[in-house]
This record gives sequence, C-alpha cells and structure tokens, in this order.
Amino acid sequence: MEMNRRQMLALAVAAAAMPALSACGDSRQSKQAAAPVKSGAQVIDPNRPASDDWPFEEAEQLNNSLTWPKTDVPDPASKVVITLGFTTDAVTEVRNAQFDFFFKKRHPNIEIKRESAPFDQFLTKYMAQAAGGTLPDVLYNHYSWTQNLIANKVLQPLDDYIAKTPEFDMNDIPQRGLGYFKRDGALYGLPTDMAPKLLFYNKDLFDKAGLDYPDESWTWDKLFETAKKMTSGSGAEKIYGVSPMPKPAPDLSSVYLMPYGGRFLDAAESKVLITDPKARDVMARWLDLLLKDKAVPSLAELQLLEKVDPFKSGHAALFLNGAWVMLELSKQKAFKWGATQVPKGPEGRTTPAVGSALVMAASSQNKDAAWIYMHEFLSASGYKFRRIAAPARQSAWEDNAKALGIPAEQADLVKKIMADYASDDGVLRLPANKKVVDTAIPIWERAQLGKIGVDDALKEMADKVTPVLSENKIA
Amino acid sequence: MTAVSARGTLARREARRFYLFTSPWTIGFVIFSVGPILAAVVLSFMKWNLLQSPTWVGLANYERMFNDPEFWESIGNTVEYGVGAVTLGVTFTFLLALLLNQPLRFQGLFRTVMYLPSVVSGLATALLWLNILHPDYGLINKVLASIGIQGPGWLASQEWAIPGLVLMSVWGAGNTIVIYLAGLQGIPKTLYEAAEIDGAGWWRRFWSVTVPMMSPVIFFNVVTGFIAALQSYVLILVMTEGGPGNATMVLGLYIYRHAFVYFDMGYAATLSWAMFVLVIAVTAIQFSLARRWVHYEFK
Amino acid sequence: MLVETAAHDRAPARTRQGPPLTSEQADRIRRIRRTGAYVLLIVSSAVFLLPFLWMLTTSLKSDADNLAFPPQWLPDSFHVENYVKGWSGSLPFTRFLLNTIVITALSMAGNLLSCVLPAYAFARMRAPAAGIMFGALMATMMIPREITLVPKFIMFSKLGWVDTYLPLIVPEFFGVALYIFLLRQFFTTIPQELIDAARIDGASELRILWSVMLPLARPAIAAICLFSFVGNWNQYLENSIYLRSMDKITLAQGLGMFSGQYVTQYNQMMAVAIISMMPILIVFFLAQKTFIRGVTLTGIAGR
Repeated sequence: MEMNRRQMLALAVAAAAMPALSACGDSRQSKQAAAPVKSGAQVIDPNRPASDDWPFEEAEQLNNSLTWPKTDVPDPASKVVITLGFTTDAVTEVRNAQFDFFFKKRHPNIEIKRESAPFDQFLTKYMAQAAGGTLPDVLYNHYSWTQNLIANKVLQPLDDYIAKTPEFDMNDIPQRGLGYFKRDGALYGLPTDMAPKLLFYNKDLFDKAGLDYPDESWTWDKLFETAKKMTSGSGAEKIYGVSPMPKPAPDLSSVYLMPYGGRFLDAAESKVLITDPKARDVMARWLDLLLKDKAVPSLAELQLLEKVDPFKSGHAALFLNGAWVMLELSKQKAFKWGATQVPKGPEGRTTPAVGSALVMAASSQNKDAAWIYMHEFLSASGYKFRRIAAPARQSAWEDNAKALGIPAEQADLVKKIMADYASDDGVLRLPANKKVVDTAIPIWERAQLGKIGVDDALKEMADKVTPVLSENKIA
Repeated sequence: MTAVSARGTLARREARRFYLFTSPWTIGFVIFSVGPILAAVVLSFMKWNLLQSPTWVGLANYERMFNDPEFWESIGNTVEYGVGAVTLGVTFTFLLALLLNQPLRFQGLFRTVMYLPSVVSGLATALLWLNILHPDYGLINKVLASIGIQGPGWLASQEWAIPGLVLMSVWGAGNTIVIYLAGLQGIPKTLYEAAEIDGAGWWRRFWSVTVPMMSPVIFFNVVTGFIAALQSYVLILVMTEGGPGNATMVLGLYIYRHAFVYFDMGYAATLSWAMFVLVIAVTAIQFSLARRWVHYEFK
Repeated sequence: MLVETAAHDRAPARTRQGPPLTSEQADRIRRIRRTGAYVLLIVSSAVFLLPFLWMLTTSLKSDADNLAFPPQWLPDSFHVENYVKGWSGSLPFTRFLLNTIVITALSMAGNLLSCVLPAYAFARMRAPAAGIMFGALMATMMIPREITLVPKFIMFSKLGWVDTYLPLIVPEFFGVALYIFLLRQFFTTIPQELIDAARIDGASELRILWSVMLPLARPAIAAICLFSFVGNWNQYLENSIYLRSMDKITLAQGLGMFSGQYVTQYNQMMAVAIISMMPILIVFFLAQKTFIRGVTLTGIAGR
C-alpha cells in the first residue's frame, strides 16, 4: 500500500514531461525521465540547409550558375516577413528550404516563414486558416481548388505584378493550361508544374507478344484492339491490356471522351452530357473491355491504392497517366518502358494539361515581397533550381529531365504535346467539381460490378449530378 | 425534524463536494466546449463555406437531410457496421482478455503482441487488410479456397464490404482488451474461493462471479465501443472511400466529406446532429438495459 | 475455465479442497489447460503480429519491391538503410520526436490530474445536478469532433494560440470525457464497505480517494495513461491544423510527409513509423505490468 500511495503522489505532482509517463508503469523505471527538450535537433539547418539527396555544395553551385530575373517591384525598405504555405513531402522540403536560403541572400529584407503540410491535409488546414483569418501570403493550390477561392474573393489578381515584371515571360508557360486560374480576364494563380497525359507502354510485354510499340499513329480503336490482345493470365500472372479503368474524374472528358466528340459536362460545367451517344459509346466500350474481356484492372485491383498501379509492377501493357509518372518509372529497373502521345479519335487528339499553382492571398500585408518571391520561385531559374519533374516553364524541361534521368526523347515529346494540343478544356475546375466526381463515381462503380447497365448508370449519373451543378453558378 | 435537516445539511455538503470535485471538467466544458457546441447548433441553420460570412437558411439543411437518400443509406451502413463491430469486438476481446489474464510465461509479451494492431500506422493497417481481403490472392480467400469455398469479393463487393471492415475492426481492438484486463484485476480472489467452496464449476463461476463483477467494465466497452464505431470513418476513408457504390459510406465519412472536402459546414453540422441523435439513442438504450445486468457497488 | 486458473495458480494450496481429485488428476487437468492456453495464445499472436510484420518487411524493401504485384511479403533484398534515410535523410525527425514528447507528456499529465476527481465524484457522490452533468459528459463524446473543430480553431486563433502547443495541451488539463467515464466505472466496482470503514475512521473524501480508491483503481489509471499517451502521440488532424511551422510539428505529421501528391515512399514511411511506435510499446509494456498487481492487493480481500 505504501509504495502505491507514493506512486500516486508522484503521479499527481507530475505536471511535466516524463515523470508522468513512467508513473503508469514501474516506479523503478522513472529515472530515465526528462529528455532534453530544447537542445540540439535543429529543423533544417538555417545556415546550411542540406540532405543526402540535396547536398549544400551542389545547391550553392547551381544557385550561382543561374541568373536570377529582375522585377520593377521594389524590395521592401525595411524587414518584412512573408509566410508560405506549401505542400511538402520528404523529398522536396529540403530543396525548397535551400531555395529560401539563397533567396534571402538576394533579398536581405525579406524574411521567410515556411509552413508545410502534406497534400492530403493541405486544403483542410488552410480552409480553417482562412476561416480564422490567418492565411499565409503565398499559398500552394491544386488546380481544382482555385476557382472556389477566386469566387470567394480570397485571392489577389496577379496581372499588375506581371505587368511590372517584363522579365516574367508568360509565353514560356502553356497558355492553354491557365484556365484553372483565370476568372473574368484576371489571372489569380501561376503554375508550379504542368503536364499532359501520355500513353505509356511496357516494351518487354510488347516484345514478348511480337507486337509493334504504340506510336503517334495510334487511334483509340487500335488501343482497344491491342489491349484485348495483350491481356493474358490470371491471379499473380495476370497481365492487363490497359490500365487504369476510366472513371468520372475531372479529366474524364479530356482523356477519353473528347477524341470521340463526347463530354462529361459542358464547357461551362452547367450541364451533364454523358448520356449523349458519343460519350455513352466510349463508356460502354470500356465497360465491355472490363466485364467481357477482363482487359482492364477491376475495382478490386484499383483498390490496392491507386498509386500502385499494375503497370508500375509490369502487369499491364498500356497505361494512361500523367507525364509526372516518368520520374518514378525512370527509377525502376524491372522492365523497359516507353511513352507516346495519347491515341487519336475521330475528332482528333486531346489531352489535359493539368498542374498546381502558387496563389497570393488577398489578405496579404506584404504583397510586393510575396510577388518577388513568387516571381523568382516560378522563373525558369527557379524551376531549374528546384529540379521538378514537370515544370510549367517549358524552357526548364530539358535541364530538369537531364538532371532527373528522364530520357531526352520523352522530355521533347512532352514539350511538343504542351505546345501542340494539351489543354485545360474539358477538365472540371469549378467549385462543385469534387461533389460532381463523388456523386458520379459510386454509380460508375456499380456499373463496374455489373450491377447496373451502362445506360442506366449514365442516366442515373446525369440525374444526380445535374442538381449539384447549380453550385457552379458564381455571382 | 432535526434528523431531516441534518440529513439535508449532509446532502448539501455532499452536493457541494460533488460540484467542487467535478469542477475541473465543468470549467473546461464551459470554456472549451460550450462555445463550439453552440456554434455547431447555430451552424446547422446556416450556410457557410468557411470563406464568407455564414448566412441564415432556417430549416433548409434539415429539410435537405431528410430528403437525402445518401444520408439514409449512410445511416443504414453505420448501424450495420456499428452493430457488427461492437458485438463481435466486445465478445471476442473479452475471451482474449481472459486468456491474457492467465499467469503464463511471456504474458507481457503476448499482451504486447495483441495490442500491436492498435498502434501500427493506419496506412500499414489499410494496406495490409486490402491485401488480406483481396478477392483473388488475399489470405482469407486463399484459406477458404483450400477448403473448397469460393470466398466473397470483400471490399470489392457491395454486400461483403462492411463485413470485411467489421473483421478488420475486431482485430484492432487492443484498447478494449486493455480495459478488460484492467477490470479483471479488480475481482476479489475471495469471491472465486467462496464459489469454489460452494462447489461451483468453472462455468458457474464465470457466470456468477466474473460476468457480474466485470459488468460495469463490459458496459463501458459496449457503450464507448458503440460511440466509437458509429463515428468511425478514418480507415474506411483510406480503404474504400465509401465505395464500392456507397456500400461503405458511413455517416462519419459523409460528415467528413461535407465538412472537409466540400466545406459545406452548415450541412455538415446538421448531419453531425443526426449522428448525435443516433449515438445518443443507442447509448440511451444501453443505459436503460444496463439496469438489468450491470452490477454496481454504489447506486 | 480460463478465469478459474487465474485464481488457482495464485493460491493452489488453499483452493484444493473442493471435489475429491487426486493430485495427479489435478495436475494433469492443469497441464492440459495450460497447454491449451498456450496454443490459443500462440495462434492468435501470429494473427495479431501480421500488421507489424507487414510494416517490418515493407520498411526493409527496395523502392521497386514496394510496387510488386501481387504484393510480396518478403523483400528480395534487405534495405536497412531505409531507417537511416527515413529518419535523418531529409526531414528532421529527431526534432519531431522531441516535439511529440513535449505535447504528449504535458497532455498526459493534464489528463491524469483532471480526470480523477470528477470520476470519483460521478461514481460516489450524490448531487441534484449529477444526472444532468453526467449526461452532458457523455454527450461530449457523442458530438462528432469534425463539426466543433473549425469553431474551436477560430476560438483559439482569436486567442492567438495558432502555431503554439497551447490549443493541444491546455484543454487536456480540463478532463477528458472518455477517461472520466472509464475511471468512474472502475470506482463503482470498489466495495462500499471499504469506503464506509474509512469514513467511520474519520477520513476525508480526498483521503478516501487517495488511500482507498486510487490504489485499487491502479490498473485503470494505467489504462488511462496508455490511452492518453497513444492518443496524443498519434494525434494527426488537430495537430496538422494548429501547428504550422516545420520546427513545431510532430511525428504523425512528419510521417504524412512521406506521402507525396504522386508518389508515396512506403518503405521509408514504415521504417520511421516503426521507430516512432516504439515508445508506445514501451509504455504499453510498463502499463500492462499493473494488470497483475491488482489481484495481490490486500485491501480488496477485506470484503
């Protein structure tokens, strides 16, 4: 009893740190308490940010080799602090910190406070900050978020700043991919990355089947036909002809339907068009490919988290995905792969140009400093410094591809597509886009399970999505 | 007369002490909870997207909810999941706790192992179970196939998705085991001895000593188990996102979507009050049934 | 059967007076039961170990093996360097660990200090408003936290508490409904005779709580310690909304950063996840030790 009481005393007075922790166990263990709290363990060394992947010397060298563009917007006369809210993952964080480090050397009066959040928590976090009135000055934006923020007057138009910065070359950025960030002629966001979708293929599987690799002469009909031929095996040996199965995602029209003249929604995102024969026939063909030919991964496969697509493990012959997966594919050695343009349809070739952007909060108190940062971060030099895989600035593509091990011919291919036809047309972006997708997908899933025919599914989709579209009307 | 007033004084003193003792919680409740709860009440009558000032819409959100087929579907799914997870969880973990209470060697190790699933990362749990439940090469269906049974589609089928999630939930119920284990320590050994002297076999002792003595703890696990199960959505969000075809769209996930994906705070608040009513109804049933089977030392 | 052996093994000499069994028979029965218990435990342990083994093998895989389809249990080669790379390769996980320790320890201390008194009152005292207050306590558990999250955030941001640990720690010093309810349930099982005896001896309520209730509720206190520790250690949603700067964030948030927009580094993520769950396992191991002591307490035998 005595010992217990003493422990209870220890427990009650343990107002801080480890003693409380050890009290619930054995009192003999409580000696190891009080770990050092404030000592050591810097975040990223502010005087020398570096990691194994991003050595400081390399960053310094690269930084010095690049020319940093100028703007007529003057540097602040006294110290100001700008806050940045970026998505971060373990890979990019240090590089961004290095960018900030050299930026501060160029602009001694601009102090930077970086905030980082993983992509999946980002919007929740910053919508809460917006409600609390504490948005950062510069903010990351996924293309599907920006129109909602513009409609609610949270963002600052950037046109004046761009006008004051002659060196900010807008022509280096694909104009057809800026629609997500524009409203009523004003531009509210500048892309951080932008890429089209491509048709990837597994060379080993094609060699084995004795078929020619896909090329730019391919039509969608040819893709369907080849996908059936390339399908084989079952269980662990299963090879899918093509992956993934289309779903009512924001880019459904642009990737799959527009080559046939069909659309999921109209351009104003105010009407559902998926029941029109042109769109309907494409959806029906894919459903057949799934249910009859088993040439596309089923729901069960795709549930193994989308990021692990059968193609990436050599279990699909063809793969429709964004150019950004090249980085990951370049790192694997299990199979040889190639990429070409998406197939043509009767109405030509279409592919979405999608990417994220940086935006400036209308509430920012230091807009000039924020612009100076955005301008350099999004300059060709900024892209080259950050070495990102799908730069929106086309002049940075070659350098970055070389540095990242992406084959030069693929880089050229992407540049050509961005210049020729990749576009934001048909990609959902208005405020209701997420709800539209979430409403349509369960219905499409029932069709994929064979519970409902394609016509019933598309009709139900139209019936249920139409009322949601009223949220796209912006005053 | 004096006896009555003396009792009154005593009762008043006890009541004062009660308020004093509960004050840490009461103060915190008033400071940190009352405001946000009232805000949630008011929000359910408003339209608010976090970016602009809320506007009053009266009963529109409630009207919308009652006419929202997905809402009713989600209630059905939630109840199915809750009942499955709690019944299976509470009984299975009780048996496991009895086993872990045996004075055997490596007892601490065994207990730690059983607790492991409750602390491994959610993503690892999700990935693992997606594999275990995979219709073609998942562990469960392979075992079933080896005895000649064609296993169901689990998470890829509308009928079997919730049973699959229930299975998963049972396996991660380490906290329930911990509470049982803690409870089992409070049963006086003398009760077993007395029962044994009376010639009671293990079955009798289990029903006449273990169960009644553990009843407050079992009750706790049932009540909080229901509260947690009816509200749960995080693993479901990672694993099925409510699919296939809304089969696993539980109310918690539906609220999450409206709050943090669509930022439709008004409707999310309304749905939250529906959740509240559901949970409170289930809990009230528990408390009223409790009078028949829960044994308290102090009433 | 199982419960019974618990009582048996502790005091074999005294309990051996029931039905006339020879000592060999009794021994045999006991041995069979023991073996049965072990077999059951080992089989179920194997099932329960699965997720951890999955994490372990994932953490040792190469990037390529992570993509294998169908997923493979054993990696082709073992990459222990994932642990080093993950922990100190790019993000400052040591810093995140220290932050997590500070938040968790303070929150836990707050939970313990603030849950015992209310729980005792709810279990053992009468007051006119007791029923209503208990109802309110239960109700706070039933309101989905998603909906109070934003109002709370706005409240704390008006106080200027954003990007500090205050919104995560201060409320923890004002009681947690779940723990109060748990402790109350345990306090209600303690025999009234013990309390009456103490009252007759002139003990104050605090004295009774201190020397009668708490020692007997020790396993429950240990359980609360554990839950509080695990809950705060793994807290994700609140942390990620309140904490903004890189030098303030916690392990759970850092782990989320292995998941990029396009690529997730499962191997490094699992490696760091394994490191970061070790403290929880240590706390659990310590806490579970109290789950045998209760039986031997002398006080309880006074009934």
